[in-house]
Amino acid sequence: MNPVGPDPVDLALRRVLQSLSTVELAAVAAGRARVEIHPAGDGPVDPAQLGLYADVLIPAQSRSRRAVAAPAPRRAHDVDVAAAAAHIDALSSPEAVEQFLLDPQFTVPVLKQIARALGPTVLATGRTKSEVRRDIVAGTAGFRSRSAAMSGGAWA
Amino acid sequence: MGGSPPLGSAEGERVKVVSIINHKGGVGKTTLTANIGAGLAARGQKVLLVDLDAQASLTVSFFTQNEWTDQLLPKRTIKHWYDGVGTDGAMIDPFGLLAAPPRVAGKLRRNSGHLDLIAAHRDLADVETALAARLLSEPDEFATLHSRLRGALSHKSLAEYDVVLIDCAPNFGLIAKNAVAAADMLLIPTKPDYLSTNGIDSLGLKIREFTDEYNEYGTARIARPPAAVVFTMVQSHDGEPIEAQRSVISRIEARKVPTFATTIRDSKSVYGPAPEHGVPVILGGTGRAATRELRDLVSELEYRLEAIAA
Repeated sequence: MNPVGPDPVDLALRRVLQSLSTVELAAVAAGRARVEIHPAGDGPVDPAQLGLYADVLIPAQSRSRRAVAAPAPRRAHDVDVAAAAAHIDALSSPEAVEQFLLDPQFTVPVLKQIARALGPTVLATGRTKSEVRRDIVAGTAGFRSRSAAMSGGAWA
Repeated sequence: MGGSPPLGSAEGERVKVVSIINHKGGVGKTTLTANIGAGLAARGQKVLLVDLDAQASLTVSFFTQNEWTDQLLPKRTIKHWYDGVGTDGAMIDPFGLLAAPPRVAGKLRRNSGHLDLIAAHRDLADVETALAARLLSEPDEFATLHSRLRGALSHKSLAEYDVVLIDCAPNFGLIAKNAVAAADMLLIPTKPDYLSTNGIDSLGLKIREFTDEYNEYGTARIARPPAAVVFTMVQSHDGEPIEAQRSVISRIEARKVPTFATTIRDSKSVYGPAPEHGVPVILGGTGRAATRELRDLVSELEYRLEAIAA
């Protein structure tokens, strides 16, 4: 037993985990949902106490609505956008691009950055994941394979 | 009306022939043909336009309906060149088909340039159907039927012209193939939208298939003419095409399809009324930005034609 009492971080974590159902925990583990922090009351957020309020589970499909309520901007992503764009550019089939884009790390802002990094053949105006994914597929392997099929390489 | 008398030159010497072609309709073929032709004539070149579309939009952009009906339709249209092809009754000299549009001639009277036109006929589609049927029953006539226009433009009576521009109908039938067989270059007007990009792909394939087939049947081989896309009806924001069109343009460029650097803006208020007045925008003095683009396009085409000749 800890002589100075229970660690407040351990305590907070335990509370958060206990507040989640098995299904919700599985969703977090699979990347389909995540836990976000919201302060209670109107006062400024005290980093030391954040853990005590970390009890909000955000289903992926309601992320945008939750995002509006979030008091602070989201943390910057860790995706290597240039590497992702280079990988997509090297893929020859639309299905392979589509599959690659299903990576849960690719949020809408990340997808838009990837779309822009791929150059002007890709529209970056989509608003949802499915729209941006669709435009990335169409602007890369999508148009190349369609063109090759229709022209028989006549323009090559 | 009437074409200029032939200056004469060696038989078989051909002028530079540019076919304006896209089997997709409504992309600006006729507008570009009329304006490039008038622009070249304004720079002192002798230009011949040929209207291969039964809708006769190019013809009635230069002649009134009455002029066309009364003076051209009876004896002076491209249909008359195809009548009796392969028989003793066929025309042997296309000179009698030439007509000089009066209002454009008035605009050009102070320079050395000249513009004539061989008009369309509203029965041109029927002629095409008959020729296609004939080809089915007599496949050995492939070269005769597909080189008829090439023969006209190689005739010594047309040797005075510097450039011939052919306005094709929105299809890839036998007469449009005649325009490919006759061409030194293909100019492909294209709207930057999804359906047009598909059209470019299939057009590229059809052109290649046709030239291959022509060279199998014909005694005189033809080279596949170099082709380049001109983007028309472009909508801009801050001097750049809007993003949806820019992505289409980029996709066509990414496929290595040659494209003109000059693009033509979407301007119905400028291009809409011009045909009714019988004078193309490039000579009419309306729409300064549109006129500037057209002049740039003419310069670019001249440069490309010089490159082909070199």
